[in-house]
Amino acid sequence: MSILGLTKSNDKVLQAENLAFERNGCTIFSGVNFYVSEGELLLLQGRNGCGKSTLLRILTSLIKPQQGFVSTYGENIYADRHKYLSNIIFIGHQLALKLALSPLDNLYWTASSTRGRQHIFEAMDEMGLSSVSGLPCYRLSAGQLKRVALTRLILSDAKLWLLDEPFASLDLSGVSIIEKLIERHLKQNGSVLMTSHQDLRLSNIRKIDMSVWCH
Amino acid sequence: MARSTFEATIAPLVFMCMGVSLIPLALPPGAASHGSIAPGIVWIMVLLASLMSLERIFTFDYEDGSLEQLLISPQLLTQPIFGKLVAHWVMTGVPMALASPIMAFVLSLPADGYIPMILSIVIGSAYLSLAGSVCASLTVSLGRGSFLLPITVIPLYMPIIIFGTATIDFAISGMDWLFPLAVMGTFLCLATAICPIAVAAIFRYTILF
Repeated sequence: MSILGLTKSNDKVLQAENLAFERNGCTIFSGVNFYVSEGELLLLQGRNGCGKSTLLRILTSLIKPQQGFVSTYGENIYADRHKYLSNIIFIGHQLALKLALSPLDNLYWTASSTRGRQHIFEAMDEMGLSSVSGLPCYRLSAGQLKRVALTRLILSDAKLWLLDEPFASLDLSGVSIIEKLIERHLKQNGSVLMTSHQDLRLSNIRKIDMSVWCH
Repeated sequence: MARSTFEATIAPLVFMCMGVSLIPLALPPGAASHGSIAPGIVWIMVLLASLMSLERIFTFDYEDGSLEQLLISPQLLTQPIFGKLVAHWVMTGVPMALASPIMAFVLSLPADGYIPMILSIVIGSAYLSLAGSVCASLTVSLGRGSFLLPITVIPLYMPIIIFGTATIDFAISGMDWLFPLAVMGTFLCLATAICPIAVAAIFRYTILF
């Protein structure tokens, strides 16, 4: 598209073309092609170690692939990295929470630029965290910490959510809260790309099995 | 966890005090009583204590995912890095400067040397935090206890130990100690301008994950 300068606008929030990645001379995946449209949930599945987390990191621009490129609305993500990064939110296995601080302080640090304190309280209430908002994070359980990290989804304005196993260590009520959040986000024309081993009770899901690209 | 953070913060200070208090015991009687070894010993301990705390600047952020989030946040990377370095200096360098008179007293430093010593540690430790952060960012993915960090950082620390001890020596022998202190200030200015940008570039262009 961009070779002849004929950039065509499209509604593909994220498009991966022919991505390949190798680590220490060993190819993890190659020939990865997929896209995510507006208002759509793409579920990445595949066995352990087939590169799902690595692929998500490539999509956040944290790692560069050896081959292929990632584009957003038809434009390479490295062309205007700042604009792309302000449009995504990534929540991985590492929760980026400071254990010495309270959930409130942790969220204030990540969300302070856009929202006030009242908004954080409301978001934590929605996640079922209002009773622990003032406790230091080292007193919380793994599931509660995951909920604190996922509260960032409510506080963020990002159109594209990149979630690496968001349901890991969550209980049943936690899973249904996240499903509701995702549903609301999709209705507002947002997009979600996530990895999960669980089946979701949501409509408008497209599933991709990564094993086909895997080596 | 909050307690271990506190302990790790005062660890360099405790290390420095212990080292300084052991040295008179190891030397022949009277060797520490005329104060000529005090500038060198104090500065070596400041250097080692600073080296010990360097790893903490980025390792915790790397392990808990904060660094990852920082790298994909749309803000400019140099600002939070500079903030972290200032915080590191306030938590390690400033306490060492404040505690140094006690150690100088143990090593019987002459009275003229105290104020130059405190000033040189204040300026010098800020340089140590800044210059050390470059090496800390290069070795962050190697995990804790990497021997590459001390090896890479010592050459950057050498000018500071030369001019730091010179500041105190000049003051004791009645010479103009502002000259070596000004050289240290020059080093600090250069490091302030270069190091945050260098660290940001290192994080951007090295493979961390």
